[in-house]
Amino acid sequence: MNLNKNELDALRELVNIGVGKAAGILSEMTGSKIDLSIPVIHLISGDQYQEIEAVLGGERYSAVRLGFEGAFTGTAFSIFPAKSADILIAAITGDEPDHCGSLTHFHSIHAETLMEVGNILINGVMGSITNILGTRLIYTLPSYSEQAVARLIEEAGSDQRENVIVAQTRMFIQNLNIEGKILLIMGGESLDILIKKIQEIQD
Amino acid sequence: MSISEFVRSIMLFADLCPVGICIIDEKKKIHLWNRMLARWSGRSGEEMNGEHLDRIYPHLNAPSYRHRIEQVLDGGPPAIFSSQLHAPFFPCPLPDGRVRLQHTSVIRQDKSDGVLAIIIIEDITELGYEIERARSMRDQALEEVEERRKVEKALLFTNRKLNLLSGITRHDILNEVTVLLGNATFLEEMLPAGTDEKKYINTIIRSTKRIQNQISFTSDYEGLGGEEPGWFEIRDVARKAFSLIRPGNITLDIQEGCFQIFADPMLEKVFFNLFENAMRHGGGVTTITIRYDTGPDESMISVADDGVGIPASLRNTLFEKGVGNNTGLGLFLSREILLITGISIEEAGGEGEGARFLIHVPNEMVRREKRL
Repeated sequence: MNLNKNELDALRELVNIGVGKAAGILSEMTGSKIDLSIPVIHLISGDQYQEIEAVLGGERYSAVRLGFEGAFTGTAFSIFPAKSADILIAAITGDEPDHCGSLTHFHSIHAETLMEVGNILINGVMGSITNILGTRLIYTLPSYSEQAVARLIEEAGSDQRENVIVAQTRMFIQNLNIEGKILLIMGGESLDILIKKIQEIQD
Repeated sequence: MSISEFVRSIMLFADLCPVGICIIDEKKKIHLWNRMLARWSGRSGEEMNGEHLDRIYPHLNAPSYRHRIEQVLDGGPPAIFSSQLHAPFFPCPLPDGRVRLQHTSVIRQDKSDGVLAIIIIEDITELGYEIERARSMRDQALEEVEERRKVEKALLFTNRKLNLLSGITRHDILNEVTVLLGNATFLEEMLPAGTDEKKYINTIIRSTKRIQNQISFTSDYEGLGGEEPGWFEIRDVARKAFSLIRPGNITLDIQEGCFQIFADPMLEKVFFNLFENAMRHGGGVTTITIRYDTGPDESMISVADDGVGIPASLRNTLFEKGVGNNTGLGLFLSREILLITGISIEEAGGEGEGARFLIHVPNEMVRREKRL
């Protein structure tokens, strides 16, 4: 399935409103000004998903996962490359990376913190989509894992991984440039419904 | 199912759970306050049911909590409040007064007569305090490292000052020694041969020359330990030292391949001394051979020549100060240079079979592959 320019623009607008809200909440919580760049959106669909590593790289990501069900069904991920995750945690908690630039010590507490940051980003985006489209979804509790993107998507199940909407954004906190992505994974039918709803709004 | 039916249905289960559970409605009125929360907070379920959440815990009215709780109640995904980014959701101090660290999840539930938010509180105090302890240990270790760095810097500074002082002193002594030697030589030329006076002045000249040699020699070693150790490729160091001794017909045969050791920057002087000794005292050395060997715990560099070898009488004291035919400091200082990074040296050749020096290097001070 392909999205035309208008549909992609509308989707970007929805995600942008969501990440904007998330940035506001994060700024308030951390007491630091946090800006999120306007997301770049693209769709990876059908068998292209096998090539997702070519797009997103085979590196390990820190990922927060949230399943959703309702008018459209799928899984949302907020993912950070390991280095960005470390920079983000260091900026928020004040823990310094070790000599290899890694924050492997205190892993559990960092995972908990990243889970909240990812949760805020996903909630912003999902809240924006459902509010504007006037739909209500049922959600799972967020969970945290560290894996390559291909493995994360595999876990979403074959019925969902027909389409991956990748929203790529950058978070600027205390002059640090942190890369993050939102992935929305959903089956063909769910994406059809989402697009139809977007079209209804546009009409 | 209505709100009250739902609350009744889970009440028993909620009281058995090892987490805190609170249920509020859209207006944040409390409908359930489980046993664990009652125990932690000291407020009973009877006391809390029907109360307004923000009245009991006003901090939850702050935007960082309120917006996200309202987002859940409005139909948004569950919200997570981590212990690192928030004060405890429900402040419930531990009996010893410490803060009870909490991980909080807020989940929406739709019921026939309204909407609920289920607030689940996990006590992660132990984990949190363990991490705080680890942080504190890390900070202490970092402070100690910083302290050590400062001391090292101060020592380096002092060492440089001492070197400066000894350099000036050496220069002044050498000036006086040159005057002494010049005058003694004039006197020696004036004295008739075969007299006691001539014998005494010659002894003075010899002693003065030895003093001159020894003082000049110490200038070569004033940098000992003054610079940070680093990684050195043996082939490069040995070749450079070899070029400095003007080897004549002696050939240097070094094993191929990378062999780097972590040593004081004066390592070159060690090889210079070994080569110079081979040339001066080896009795017709034609080849000096350098080989490497790596064992399970340590590696070895052997520096061997095909000369006459070292007399057995000298072997035990070879690395002591003052032993030898020249200044008696070369091998002593070579051993000291190597010892700075835990490297040792011994002589293992036989008299008449050539000298064979073995340099023992702990494996953590050895690299067999080049690194950028």
